[in-house]
Amino acid sequence: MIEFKNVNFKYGEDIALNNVNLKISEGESIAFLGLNGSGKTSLFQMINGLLMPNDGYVSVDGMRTDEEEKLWEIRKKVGMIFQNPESQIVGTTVEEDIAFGMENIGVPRVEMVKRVDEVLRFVDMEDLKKAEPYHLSGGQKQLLCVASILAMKPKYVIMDEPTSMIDPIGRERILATMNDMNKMGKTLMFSTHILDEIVVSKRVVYLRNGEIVFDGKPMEIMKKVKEEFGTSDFIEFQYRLYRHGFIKHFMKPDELSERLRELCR
Amino acid sequence: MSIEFKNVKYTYELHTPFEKKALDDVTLNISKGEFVTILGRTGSGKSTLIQLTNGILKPTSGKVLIDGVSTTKNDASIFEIRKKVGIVFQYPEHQFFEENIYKEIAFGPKNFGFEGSKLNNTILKSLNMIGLSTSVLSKSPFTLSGGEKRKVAIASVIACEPQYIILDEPTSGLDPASVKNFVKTLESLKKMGKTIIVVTHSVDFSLQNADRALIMSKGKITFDGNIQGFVKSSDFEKYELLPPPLYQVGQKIIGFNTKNEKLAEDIKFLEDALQL
Repeated sequence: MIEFKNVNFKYGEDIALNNVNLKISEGESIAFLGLNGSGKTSLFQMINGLLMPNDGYVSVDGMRTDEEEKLWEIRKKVGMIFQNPESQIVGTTVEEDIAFGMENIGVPRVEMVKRVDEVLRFVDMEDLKKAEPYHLSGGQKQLLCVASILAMKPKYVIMDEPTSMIDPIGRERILATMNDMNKMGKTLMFSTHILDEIVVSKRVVYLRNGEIVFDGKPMEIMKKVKEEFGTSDFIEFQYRLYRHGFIKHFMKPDELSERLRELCR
Repeated sequence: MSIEFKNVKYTYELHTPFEKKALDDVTLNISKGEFVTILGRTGSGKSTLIQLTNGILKPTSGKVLIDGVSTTKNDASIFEIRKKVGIVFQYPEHQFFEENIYKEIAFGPKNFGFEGSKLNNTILKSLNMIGLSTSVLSKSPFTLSGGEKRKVAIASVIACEPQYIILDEPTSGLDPASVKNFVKTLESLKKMGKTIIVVTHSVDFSLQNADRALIMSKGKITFDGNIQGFVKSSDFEKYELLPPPLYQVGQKIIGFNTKNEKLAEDIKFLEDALQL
């Protein structure tokens, strides 16, 4: 479990997180929403100790991030994928890039070779093992980051706006991969500005000026933040169906079409 | 007054084993005052096309003309072209380097000869257009949030008072409120008579804002026209585009009927939203 207890954090004078309390259990998939500057990235960076609270504490499986001797363990458990994939690709080939993180945490050579193939299969990029990351598309680069993180076998995966630099076809693949990761048991936290993407999560946390103002089921968020965050036709349509009792939760386009087909029978 | 592409080809690393054709015989005319969006998959040639508009890249063959002047020469004329054509690149905030926001925005216009009160005015005006208060001017650009950084980067291009403003994926990473605000800025720029070209992945953005859309695929312009018309033809696959999620649903449920009144109402909502 990841826990935030009365966490406050300031950048100089500016409040970034304001009395944040949060519990994240194993296996969850949580979308973090909020306007630019609402504190999503700060919150994420608290989890693996890149930032430290001014007050309160953050713990990962009972280990507090302010206990320096625990940070190594914490960082092995928490994999972090940043918004811009380019900023975290270091290898000159795809397989080297994946190996880099594993080398850092001391994975034995034989095991490394095995895991490279495993994660490349997972993101469906086996044919690109020897490719230079430079030549990959934006979506493939993001998937490479996912693969590199997964190779270190983290329990928690944090993705800060993983789809914001990717074209829509690439985004579909990232979202599907996120879904698969959650299914294989990873606890997933991601932020997004694209409301339509909350359909892949089971819980939404909404931040405003560093405070958590909503924490609950995706469908419920429509009542709370529509004014501030806006809405989309896709979400509005599903919310109507929900209010009329035709669906119980948000669905992806395919599922939704199928459900409508059933209803119209 | 226009941006013209005449049979433009562009090949990266020409005459090497890494030769890669990025633009293939593009002919195009964008007139003063138009609002054009460019859609297409990653690698389809969009960024190459916009880098050709102010001479960062020169055509391998063919011609690019800005108000009749070719971008090929490297004399004083290219300076004039760069003054006219302002480009906001993807993630422009990665290029910040000044100690405060005033200096950051001033950098471009200073290069183009703005000084004194003229410089000061253009900075304040562009800041206002993008919806930031003057209180940020003394802050370091690195202390801002992602959305605010983007605004500063856009302001720094507007401050050069270009006639043509070209933006590469300007809304990626921006929250919906900032996107709305940004669209307002584009609208006022359009009212001022500026020509606006926006590269975007969002069919929705294109639908809501642009008069004209170009779709690119493998270095060619495969569609040039009215985006509303395009969406109705539902030819997304052919153009390597992904329909917005509601369209994906809409396409699948065409012709569905129900006796349930509430459900019929909901389906009507969907059809109205899609203008089916």
